[in-house]
Amino acid sequence: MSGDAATPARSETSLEALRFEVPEGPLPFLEPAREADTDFFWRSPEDGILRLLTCGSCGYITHPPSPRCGRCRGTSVAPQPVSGRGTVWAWTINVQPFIPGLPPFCVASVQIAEQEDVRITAQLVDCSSDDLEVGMPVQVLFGEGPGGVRVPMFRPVQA
Amino acid sequence: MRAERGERKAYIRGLGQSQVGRRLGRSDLDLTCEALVDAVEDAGLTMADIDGLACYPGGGLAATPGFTGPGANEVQDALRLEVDWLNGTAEGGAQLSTLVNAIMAVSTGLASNVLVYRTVTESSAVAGKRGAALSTPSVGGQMQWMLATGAVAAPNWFGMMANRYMTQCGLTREQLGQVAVNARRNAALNPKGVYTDPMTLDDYLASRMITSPLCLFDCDIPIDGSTAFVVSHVDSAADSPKTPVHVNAIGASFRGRNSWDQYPSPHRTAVHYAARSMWKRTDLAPADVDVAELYDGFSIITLQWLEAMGFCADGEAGAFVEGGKRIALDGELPLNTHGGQLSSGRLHGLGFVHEAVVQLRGEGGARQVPGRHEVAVAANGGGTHGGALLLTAGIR
Repeated sequence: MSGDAATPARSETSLEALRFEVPEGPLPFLEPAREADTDFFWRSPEDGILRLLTCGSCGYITHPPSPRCGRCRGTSVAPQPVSGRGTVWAWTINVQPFIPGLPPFCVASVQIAEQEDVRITAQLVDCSSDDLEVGMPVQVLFGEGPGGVRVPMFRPVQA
Repeated sequence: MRAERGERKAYIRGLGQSQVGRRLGRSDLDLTCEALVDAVEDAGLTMADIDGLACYPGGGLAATPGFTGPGANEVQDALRLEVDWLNGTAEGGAQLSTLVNAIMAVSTGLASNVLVYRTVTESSAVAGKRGAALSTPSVGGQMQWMLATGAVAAPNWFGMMANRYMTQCGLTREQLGQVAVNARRNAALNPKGVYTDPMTLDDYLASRMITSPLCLFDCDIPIDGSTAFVVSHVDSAADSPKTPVHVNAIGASFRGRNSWDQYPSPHRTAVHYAARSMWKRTDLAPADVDVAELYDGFSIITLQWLEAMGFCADGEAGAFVEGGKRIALDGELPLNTHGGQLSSGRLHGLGFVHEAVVQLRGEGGARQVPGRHEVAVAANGGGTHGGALLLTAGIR
């Protein structure tokens, strides 16, 4: 690499010690359209449980939800509870006001504990930018999106 | 026995481009007609010789403002074209899919001179506006998993990809920045360059963050402009007034998870499969390439293309571009010689093919690569879509 990185790049400093709180009130994102295959993900009753489409024949979890199992292509797929635990696979701190008025927030790709090839993109909350690390253990929680949909988010937990 | 390479029946005969810039305030149809007339003249043909028309992504698509350009039907009517084949398509080998379609139309005999275009007016369309990502009330399909959960714009998706890449491979911002610095250096030599002020690596590092680790200069620039080609059958190559640029190989394979957030690694996105399938259709090899025009909608994508194309191993693109000498105009692999989309604007894919043709013809002026210019690679897309094209001049 060029330089020994003894001093961090100037633009990095503004990303230090940023706090990502659990949002209050409805989330300002787009409402998911009503679709037969995906409706359960957004519109299950709020009980704090993450459900993913699981194959009754081979046990494989298919995400995003689909009419067919992604492994055996069978049709006996149905939403089943998962632990809601996972690890951060990648993250980004959004600074640009793509949605006007929003303070910087963190979005992550979270690999679920049950299956290596399933990831959920969601906000990371209840943490600081200094905590962020690939591999960090997290637990799901839900926020309310437009139209009353439940939107998954994740917060750090002890391994 | 090796299957026939149908794409070798086609060549790029004509090249056209409209005025290119920020907030031109001209209609997409106006810019398109300018580019198409330019391409037909460049090909030494008349509109009466044109018997095919193709574009990306085609009309009637719900998209962000200024993204689609005019549909092929609209253009056919505007120029009173009489064509035997017409196509607009949004899916396939990224923006290159329209060239692939034109090449297939020529190689199957559906048409012999196909006009191809890609037009954007995204700069004029978004002037003075913000929040374009929220222009629709609800989102379905693949996009819901990003837009409804907080990954509200494409920079977020590639920010996560770059973050993962950095973590896995030790890529530094200093290395990533060379893609942007190189583009800026080349844009200054391009009469149609959009951002041409000198930019150092320090300027890059000091620019404001968009979505970590991507800063302002890692993201391409929305502009207005139209790029056009005439794709013709090789039977007419001897009559071409300009150097015929031959289609040696197309890469348009899709494998694995075609998804914005389920790809297994930054080294296995659509760009990987497109590039690998291109090399399976040719006897040429990465070492034969004289100039590389690799998509840079975000700087990280160019590094992914460098690896996918086999110019370096997975995870080594950062070291490959470090210091910038290797990818400079006089380097071992001149890269994005027109300034890429990072500094010459998001002509959206086909600008890279345009530049590859310019370089193979030796028409690059101040930015012409020195020495041999017989083999060029052009790549489009990133994430869920990728397309690759190997072009040659003087050899076939």
